[in-house]
Amino acid sequence: MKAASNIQCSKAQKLMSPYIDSMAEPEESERLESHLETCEPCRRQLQSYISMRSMMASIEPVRPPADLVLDTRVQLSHARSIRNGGRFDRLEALLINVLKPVAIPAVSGIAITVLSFGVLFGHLALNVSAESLQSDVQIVEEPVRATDQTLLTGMGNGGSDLGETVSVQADVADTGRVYGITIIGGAKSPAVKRWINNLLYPAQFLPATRLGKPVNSRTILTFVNVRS
Amino acid sequence: MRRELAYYDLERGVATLVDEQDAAFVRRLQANEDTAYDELVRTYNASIYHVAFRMLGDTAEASDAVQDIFLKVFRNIGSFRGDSALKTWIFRIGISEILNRLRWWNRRHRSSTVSMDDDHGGNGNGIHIRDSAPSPQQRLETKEQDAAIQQALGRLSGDHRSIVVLRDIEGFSYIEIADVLGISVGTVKSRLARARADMKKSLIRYLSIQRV
Repeated sequence: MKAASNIQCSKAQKLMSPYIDSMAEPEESERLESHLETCEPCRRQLQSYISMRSMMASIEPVRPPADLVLDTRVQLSHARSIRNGGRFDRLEALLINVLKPVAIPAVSGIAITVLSFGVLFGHLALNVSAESLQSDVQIVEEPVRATDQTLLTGMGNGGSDLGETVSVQADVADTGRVYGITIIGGAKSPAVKRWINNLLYPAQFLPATRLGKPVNSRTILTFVNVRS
Repeated sequence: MRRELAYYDLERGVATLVDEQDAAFVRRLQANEDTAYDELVRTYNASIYHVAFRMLGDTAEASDAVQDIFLKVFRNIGSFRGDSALKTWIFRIGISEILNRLRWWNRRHRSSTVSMDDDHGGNGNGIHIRDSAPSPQQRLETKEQDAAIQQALGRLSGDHRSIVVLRDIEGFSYIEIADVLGISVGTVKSRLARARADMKKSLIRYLSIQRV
């Protein structure tokens, strides 16, 4: 049996929001429906609510900036490395990072971005393996690699200025030479910038390849000064 | 197959689903597993960013908020007891961070404005049309409606804005919203009704031409 249409328009309009979500109580729904049968203005109001819900639901998600995942991962890596206070704990965590880089699409769309981690403790451990973590990562046969030998020559001094952790974004050309360096986390003092520049610009990387062809790429290197 | 255990929080009138996969994932996060954090960021980055952008109306602010939210998740995951779904716990942290930012803005009388020409910060990541080949007219209408929605959201209080974004844009259920905001389902209903009434006033011009 239908409930009597004994509600005012103001009450009916309050019920419309839960009603369109099927969240009104059964008796409330009955009262509202009964009211709508005789009230044209409220029917139009309900139509407006339904239209608005449809309009809101149809707006497309705003995609985050392409480098947000990378920036967030770098921030989290910083936080995690800081939390790993003990020398050996930290070393272990960093070695895990070295072996498990993150691959995300590059902004340019011509290569992937690889997050890798180097460890500074008298020598530099650098190794990157391709691991696509997102389905839309382009297929890359080989990511950019750095050889220990080339970078080791630059590690002789200056490392003590590093501080806690420094994350560097290096743009590597298809020739294997670095053409852009940005410090994206950690100490940004002139001394550290100089040290990073002196280390990376002369370095020779093995360029990333796509379908066997060298391509421009970007790598993120995190240097952590582990004191002995 | 995912298994969920449901219980009902009588005090708040909130049913909570505890997902076994969630629990295993949380244990990996608590163990500081590198791959778990990769997964966390990949899973929630886009949706948190979207909520942050819709609430803050600014791409740079939204990006900063996302990074701070993930850092807070990282710092607090140790105290996560599993008395709510991980998703709602993360969004609880997220909404709290976003509301703090809104309050900071309001204290400085900073108002967000949305230009019809604003492509969400000009980073090329703005409005995306569902239709693969929209006409210029459809594109313009979509852009105009998006801007109007953003402006209408900007006129709501932080509490009302968060509830509309979670429900009407992100599609959260009333129960999930109650869990995220720490309020009862009844409060969700009444608050959402008031917020929608305000939104409707702002958007009335568009509702008359909107197809149902």
